[in-house]
Amino acid sequence: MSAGVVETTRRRESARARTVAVVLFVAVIAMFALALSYGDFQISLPDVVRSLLGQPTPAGVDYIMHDLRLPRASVSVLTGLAFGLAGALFQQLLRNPLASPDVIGVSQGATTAGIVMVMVLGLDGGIVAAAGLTGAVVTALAIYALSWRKGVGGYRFILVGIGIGTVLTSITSYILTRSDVKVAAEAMIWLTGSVNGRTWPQIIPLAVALLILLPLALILGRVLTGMQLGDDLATAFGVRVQWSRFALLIVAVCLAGMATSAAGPIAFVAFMSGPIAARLVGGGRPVLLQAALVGALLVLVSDFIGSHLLGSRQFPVGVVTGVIGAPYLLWLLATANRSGRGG
Amino acid sequence: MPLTLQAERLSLGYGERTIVNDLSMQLPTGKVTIIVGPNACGKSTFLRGMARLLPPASGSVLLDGKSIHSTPSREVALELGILPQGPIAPDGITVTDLVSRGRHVHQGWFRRWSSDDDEAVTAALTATGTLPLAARPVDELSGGQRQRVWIAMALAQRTGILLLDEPTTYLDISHQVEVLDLLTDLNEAEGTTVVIVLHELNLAFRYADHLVVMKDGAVVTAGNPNEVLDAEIIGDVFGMRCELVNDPISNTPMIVPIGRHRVGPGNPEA
Repeated sequence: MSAGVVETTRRRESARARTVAVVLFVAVIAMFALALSYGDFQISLPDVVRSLLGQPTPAGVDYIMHDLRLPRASVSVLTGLAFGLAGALFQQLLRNPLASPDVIGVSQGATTAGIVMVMVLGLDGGIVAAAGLTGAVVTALAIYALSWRKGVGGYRFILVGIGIGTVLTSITSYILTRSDVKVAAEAMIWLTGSVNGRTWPQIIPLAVALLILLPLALILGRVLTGMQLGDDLATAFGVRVQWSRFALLIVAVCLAGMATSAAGPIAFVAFMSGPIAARLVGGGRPVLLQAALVGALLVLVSDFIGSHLLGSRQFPVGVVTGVIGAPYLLWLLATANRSGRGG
Repeated sequence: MPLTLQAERLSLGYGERTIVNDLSMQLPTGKVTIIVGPNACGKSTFLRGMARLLPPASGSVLLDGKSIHSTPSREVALELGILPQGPIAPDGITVTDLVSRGRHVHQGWFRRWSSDDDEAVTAALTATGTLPLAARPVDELSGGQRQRVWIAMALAQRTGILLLDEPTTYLDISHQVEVLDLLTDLNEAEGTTVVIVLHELNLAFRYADHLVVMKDGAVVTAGNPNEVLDAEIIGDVFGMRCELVNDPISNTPMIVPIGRHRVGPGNPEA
């Protein structure tokens, strides 16, 4: 009888992880539908579905759906998934809740590269997305190289990352102060993160990247159950620690870079998703899929709040996530120091 | 039968600092080897080197005659397990989940968790007396319980060779004896080669089939504790006068340290 306790416990934990994933998935779908139907011009859910399927709908519905709301809701979901997954990968690989791409400078790398493209070289479109990705990858490689000492450990990586992020932020500020006010306003999206006014050429590269990187992260992420226990035990379990960490960090950096290129560095989504997902799943299991779904939900809900619930003014999604995330960061710093972890 | 494990002219260090210097040693297969020595003598470093957690500065570690560093890590993990010193459990992890991690190498990209794995985890929990704790979070356990859970995790890997770095740290005397009994059980039941770095000298002398005494990164003496030990060697290695008497329970040497105080009038050197 008691011999079954291992199986029972394991099944209970697996079931909870699965249930959380399913519930989050349903919540994302529901929020996605709400984002498509709700607004100054209400579209009924049947009309939403009809329009998506290309069937005839009342006048104006197709335009609002396909040109305004669908791109906005899609980019919300995609950036949310990408940031959520990237953040969870970073935090679990480096075993530190502060090690998220938006805290350690990777997102700033994408931002600075994007700003240079838009403001200095006057380019836009696909080349900006490519630049954002390159910016993120180059920044991450720089952090990796500078913190390398016979392998990459958590703290050094984070501190070097925060330092590099600060340098990049000042470069971005310098470029903005030197530019024309009107152009600078346009560049604001790169600073706060917004899902408004995105067009399909900006969205599709991110969708393709996710199609490749999400499954890749879930497959490679299998090693996290070993790596969570530290490099020594992961090695003892037969994990190639440095190789696995490098491969997964590259996946995470690409996710963060692509998402930043599509919608700017939506503050704290990467930072908050993993811990929220871990809290929901409970136990000590690594959470990747759940963190990605939490990210999508965070962006959808925050954009909904920013555009409909804060009176007559509309706020970009990054402002809302920033307001939610900043207290969490402070709380984490305050409590982490007490228990001797984190920062 | 476990594979053989030996060090061949092995030097280990961190950066420029050499800690283990040109050490050759064959660990007796199917026996309990215990490594003792003063702090910073290189015993933990040596164990980490033998477990391929630390690359050699020179020389090599041979598992079944083949260099452990050029063998795929997965293959090594099927034969050799290690419990490092002071491992940290993820927040909120349950005992079952933690011990299940020991099955990592037996899982594959396409091989899912099976009833074999459940059975191995259950057996490891039973052997360490932690089955009643299976559903509890590790955070809530006492130090002794937690240490036994970590050992269970190492057992669940089911390797022929098991290396443990100070597995009795933080444990009171009864739990120390319990852990060493448990490892002896494992050695006797499965023929597992057990290698332990230990601080407690009297327990080391009692439980070792093969005792290794280290100082300054080199082996001072090695062999059956009844044959290789005398008060002079131990006194020299630990920089302290002592006497060795017979342990009436196990008929193995037992150290009686001699300090500057509390040395009775019967002692000629007092």
